Amino acid sequence: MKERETIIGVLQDLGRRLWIAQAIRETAFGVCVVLFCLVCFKLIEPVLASDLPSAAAAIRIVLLTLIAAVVVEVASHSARKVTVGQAAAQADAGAHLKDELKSACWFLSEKPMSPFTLLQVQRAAATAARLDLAALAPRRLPTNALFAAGLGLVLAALTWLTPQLSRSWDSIREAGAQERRQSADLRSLLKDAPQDPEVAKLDLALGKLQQAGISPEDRMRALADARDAIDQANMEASAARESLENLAESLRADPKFEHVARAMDDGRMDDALVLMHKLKTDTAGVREEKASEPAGKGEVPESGTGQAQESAGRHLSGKSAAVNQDAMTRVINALEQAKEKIEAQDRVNNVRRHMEDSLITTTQRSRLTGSQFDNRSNAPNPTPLPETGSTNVRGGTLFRQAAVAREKGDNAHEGSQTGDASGDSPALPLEGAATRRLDAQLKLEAILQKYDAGDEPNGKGDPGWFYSASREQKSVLQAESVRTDIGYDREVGTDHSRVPMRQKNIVKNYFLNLHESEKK
Amino acid sequence: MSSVAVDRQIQAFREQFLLVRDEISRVIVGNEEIISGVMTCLLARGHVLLEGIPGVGKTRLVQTMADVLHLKFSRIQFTPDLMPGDIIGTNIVREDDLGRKSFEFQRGPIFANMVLADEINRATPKTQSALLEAMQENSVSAAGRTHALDQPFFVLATQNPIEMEGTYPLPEAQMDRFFFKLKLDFPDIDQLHLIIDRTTRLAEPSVERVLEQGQILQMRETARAIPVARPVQEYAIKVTLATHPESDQAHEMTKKYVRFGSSPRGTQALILGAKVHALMNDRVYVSCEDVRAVALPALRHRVLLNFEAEAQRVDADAILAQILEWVPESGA
Repeated sequence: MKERETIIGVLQDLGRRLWIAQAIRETAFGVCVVLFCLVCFKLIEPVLASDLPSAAAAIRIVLLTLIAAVVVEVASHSARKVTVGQAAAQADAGAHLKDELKSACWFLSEKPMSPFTLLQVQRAAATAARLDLAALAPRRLPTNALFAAGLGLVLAALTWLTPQLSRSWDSIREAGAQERRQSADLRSLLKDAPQDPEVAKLDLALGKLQQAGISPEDRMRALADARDAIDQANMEASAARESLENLAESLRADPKFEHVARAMDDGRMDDALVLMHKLKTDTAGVREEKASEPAGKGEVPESGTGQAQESAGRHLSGKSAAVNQDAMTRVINALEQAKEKIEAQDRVNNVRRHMEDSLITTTQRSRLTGSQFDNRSNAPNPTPLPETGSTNVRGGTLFRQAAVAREKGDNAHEGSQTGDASGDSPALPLEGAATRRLDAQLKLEAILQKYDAGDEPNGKGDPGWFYSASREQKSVLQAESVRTDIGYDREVGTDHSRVPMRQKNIVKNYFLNLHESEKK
Repeated sequence: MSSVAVDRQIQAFREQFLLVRDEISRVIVGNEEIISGVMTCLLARGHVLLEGIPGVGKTRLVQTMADVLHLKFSRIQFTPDLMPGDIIGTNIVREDDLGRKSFEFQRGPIFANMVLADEINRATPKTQSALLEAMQENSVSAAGRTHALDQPFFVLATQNPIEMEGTYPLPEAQMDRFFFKLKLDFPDIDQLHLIIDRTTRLAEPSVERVLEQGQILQMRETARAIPVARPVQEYAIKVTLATHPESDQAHEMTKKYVRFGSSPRGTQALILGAKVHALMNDRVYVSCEDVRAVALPALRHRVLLNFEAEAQRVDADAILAQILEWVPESGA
C-alpha cells in the first residue's frame, strides 16, 4: 500500500535522525560526566598522591568504575533505536499534528481497514509527505557537546599543568626532607663542641627541627630558639673577646707577658695558653718559696669570667716582681674558658651559616604566608589611620619601635622618624624593634679590693670591674617585661636576656663593632 | 464505502452539527460550548444533566433544541408528588364498542424523542429511578410488558444547585447514567444585553427545523464509526484511573480529595464524546486533545469528593484539570 510505504518511510527517516541526535546527546552527556570526574581527579590528585596515596588509588579505581558504568549506560542508550511509533509521536508533537501519525501507525496494523481508517491513513500519508524532517530533528551539536568541549579544554590544561604542580609538591616534600637532613647535618656540626649551655640549647632546637611531623608553628619556635642560642653564644663570645682584649692590655704592661699579649691579640689562644703554662712553670720555684703565705692571699673575688680575667691581668701586670701564681692559674683558666667560648661561637656560627642556607627551603615549605614571616603583619593595625592618625596600641608601639631605630650616622633624622601625627607623612621603612646602646644597658662598675699590707703598697684594694645593669636599662627592662607580657610574638618579644630576639644580630654587631671602633 | 463517501459523510456531519448549533444560537445567547455539549450527548447516544441557577436558559435551550431537531418533545416538571406512572405511563381500563373492557397501556411523557426532566432532583428517588431506568435501557417496563422507546431517545435533566431544601439529590449510581453534566454559567453583560434585546420585543426570534430524525440517527452512526487508536484509548483509560484514589496511577489531588473515581462509563463517555469532538474538527481519528476537550463534562459528575474537598471547597473540575495536565500521553 502506497500510503503505508509513505508513512513508514518518512517515520523511519525521522527515526534515524532522532536516533543520531539522541546518540550524540547521550554520548556528549557521558563525555561530560567522564571529563568532569577526570577534571576533579586531576585537581585533587597532587594532594592525594602526596598525602594519601592509598586514597588516590581508591579514587582512581572508583573513577575507572564510574567511567565504565557511564560508557555502558551511554552505549545501551545509544543502541536503542527509535521506533516508528516513537518517531510518529515525535512528529506529532513537533509539527502539532494532534496524534495524526501516531494514530495512522496504529491503524496500519489493522486488517482489514474500515473506510474511516483508510481515510485517516490516506490523510496521514499526505501529511507525512509534507513533513520537514530537518525542522523536526535538526542536526546540530547539543549543548552537552559544548560543555564536553569546555571540560576537555580544562582537562587538557590540567594535564599540562599537573606535572608542574607535582614537581612543586615534590619539591616541597623534598624541601622538608632536606630540611630534616640539614638539621641532622647541623647537629653533627655541634659534635665534640665544648660543653656550653648555648650549644646545648642550640642542639636541642636542632633536634626539634629534625623531627618529621613538626608543625610550622613549632618549627618557627625551634628556629627562634636556635637563633636565640646562636646569638647568645655570640654575645658571650664577644664578651669573652672583650675581656681578653682587656687582659691582653693589662699583660702588655709587663714585658714578660708581651708574647702572651701578642698571641692573644692575634687570636692565637693555643699559643697564649702554651706561653702562660710555660711562664707558670718557670715561676713555680718562686711559688714554692712563697708557699708559706696564706692560701687566700691575693685572690680576687670572681663575679664573672671577664671580671676574673681582668683582675688576674691586673694582678700579673701590677705585680711583676712577685708573680702571683694563683693569678696566673686564673688567667690560664680564663684563657681556656674564653677559648671554649670562642670555639663554641665558631661552631654555632658555622651552624648559623648552614641554617641561613636552609632557611629558604623552610620558608618554601611553611604553610604560613609570606607576610606572616614579617614582624609588622602580626600587628593588628601597623600604620596610623589616614583619617584620624590614631593607631592601635600594639600596632602603634611596633611602628614606633621601628621608626626610632637608630642607624649609624643617622642623627639628622633623629626625632623625626615617627611620621606626622596625622599619619599622612610616610614613615621610614620598618627595620625591626628598637635597640639600645650598650652603655644604656650596662654600666661598668668597680668594686675596690682589699689586700694585705704586703700586697698593696698604697693600702687600697684594686677595683674589681664588672658590668651591671644601668638605671636606664632597669627602667627599660620593666617596660620590656610589660611588652612581653602583653603577648608579642616570640620573635618580637624578649627572652630572659631582655634582648629582642630579632635584634640580637644588631646587638651582636654592635658588640663586635664596638671593639673595632675602640681599636680605631 | 469509498474514502470519498466517508469524507462526504464527515463533511455532512460537520455541516449539520454546525447548522443545529447556529440555529439554536439564534435563540440562546452564548453558551456555544453548552450547545455543542448537548449535541454531543445526543449524537453519542447519551443523556445530559444541565445544572445552573434559575433563569439562565436551561429549559429554553432544550425547548429550542427540540424545535430545531424536529423531534417529539415532552417536558416533565419533577415535583415531590410525581409518581413513576406519571412518567412512564399506566394501564387504564378501556371499553370497546362491544362493551368489552380491557387494560390498555397509556404511554407517559417519557415516550418522546426528547424528554426534558425539569428539576429532576425535586422528585422522589422512586420516580427518579423510573426515569433513569428508561435512560439506561431505552425501554420501559409496565404491567409485565416492555415498551421500547423511540430513537433517538434523549433525556435532558436540569437541576438547581442552590435550592437544595426539599430536594432529593441524585444518587451517585444514577448520576453515572448521564453522559455529560453541563454547567450553565451566568451570562456576562454583553450576553445579557443580547438576551434582553431578543426577548423583550414584540417578535421573539424563532427557529426552523433543520434536522430530521433520520439524519440524527445517521450522525450517530457516523460518530460511532470513528476509529480510535490504542494509544489514545490508553490515554483515556489513564485519565480515568487517575481519578481513582486507590489506583497506582492516581494523582496526588485525587488521593487527597476524591472518595470514588469515575466508572468505566466515564471512559466510554470520554471516547464517544472525543469521537464527536474529532468529527467536529474535521478529523477521522480521535486524538488525546479530543479526550481532554470532553473530559470535564464527562467526568465531573462521576468523581465523588470526600469531606475534606467539601471543607476546602475543592471542586471536581479543579481536580480534573490537574489530572489532565499531569497524565502523559501514551506513545505509539
